[in-house]
Amino acid sequence: MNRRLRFSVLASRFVFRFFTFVTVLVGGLPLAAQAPPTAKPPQTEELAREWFVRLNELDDWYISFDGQEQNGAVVDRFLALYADDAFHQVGPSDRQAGAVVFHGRDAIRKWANDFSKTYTGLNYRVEYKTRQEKPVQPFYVTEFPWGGTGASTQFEAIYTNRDDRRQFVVPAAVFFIFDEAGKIQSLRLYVLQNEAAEIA
Amino acid sequence: MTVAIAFSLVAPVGARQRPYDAIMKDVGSTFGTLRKTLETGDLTATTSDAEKLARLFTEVEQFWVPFRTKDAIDAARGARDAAVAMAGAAKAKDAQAAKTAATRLAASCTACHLSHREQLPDKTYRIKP
Repeated sequence: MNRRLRFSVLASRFVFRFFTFVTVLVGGLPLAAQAPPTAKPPQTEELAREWFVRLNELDDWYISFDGQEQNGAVVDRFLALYADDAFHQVGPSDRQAGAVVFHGRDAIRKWANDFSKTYTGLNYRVEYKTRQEKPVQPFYVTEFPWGGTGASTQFEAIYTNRDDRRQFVVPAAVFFIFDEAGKIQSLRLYVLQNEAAEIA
Repeated sequence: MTVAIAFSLVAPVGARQRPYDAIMKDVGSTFGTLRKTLETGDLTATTSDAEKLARLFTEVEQFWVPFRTKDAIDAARGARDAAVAMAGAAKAKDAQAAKTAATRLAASCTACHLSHREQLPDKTYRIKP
């Protein structure tokens, strides 16, 4: 009698656990399928934030006592965020009219090197949006159907001209396309020079 | 002839590239001596120190010119002009004018150090662009 009872209890426990397992397994499948999209956007945002960190570090270098501009390390660190065949597009300058596109590491290195040697006091910071006393620095993140992700944000570019030490604040925006490895495949930088304000 | 031309091309570059920390150490020690001579009223020694400082700040200016960094170049020129004025005042036995020029020179030093000198945790200095 006791044996029968014990068997019946064990059998019912087994059946209960089996169905619980199956239910969780089947019910969890859609959740598992949805997991990657919810996990990716924060990573994309981190990548975009890291670009700001390394861009702002481009002025973090010294001149050696024998007069060498030692910015190689910060330029390398910035460049490590880009894919080998990346595009980096900026606005016109006094040296070139129209949009300026740098393609590939060597070209982007040239831009970063020039930027690093032209400006100091770099403080490119994402614009705060505040509602209901809650400030955030939003990045608008998307996932592309072909793989990879995108991000964009508005920011304020604060910089000092290295030569004349004049400081400016300029509204700006940046659009990133990241490949699946998290490297920048394409970047478009808009800096609204017409809205630049000098900081006295 | 060829050797002479080659030397004339190389020599100024070599002269320009005296290490910046060596120039600054010279400036520091010379300015320290100059302050003492100004205090004691030894205007002959002040003249000599001020003339040396004028030469040193010409070197400082030459260091900064290739970088086109206006504030550093202006500070070096300001310091050199103050040193020249100090030497002139000391020669003319005008101690008060020499002291005023020394204050002006010190202000140029401070301005440039604030912008272009950074002290590292090990107490050494680096030149900021």
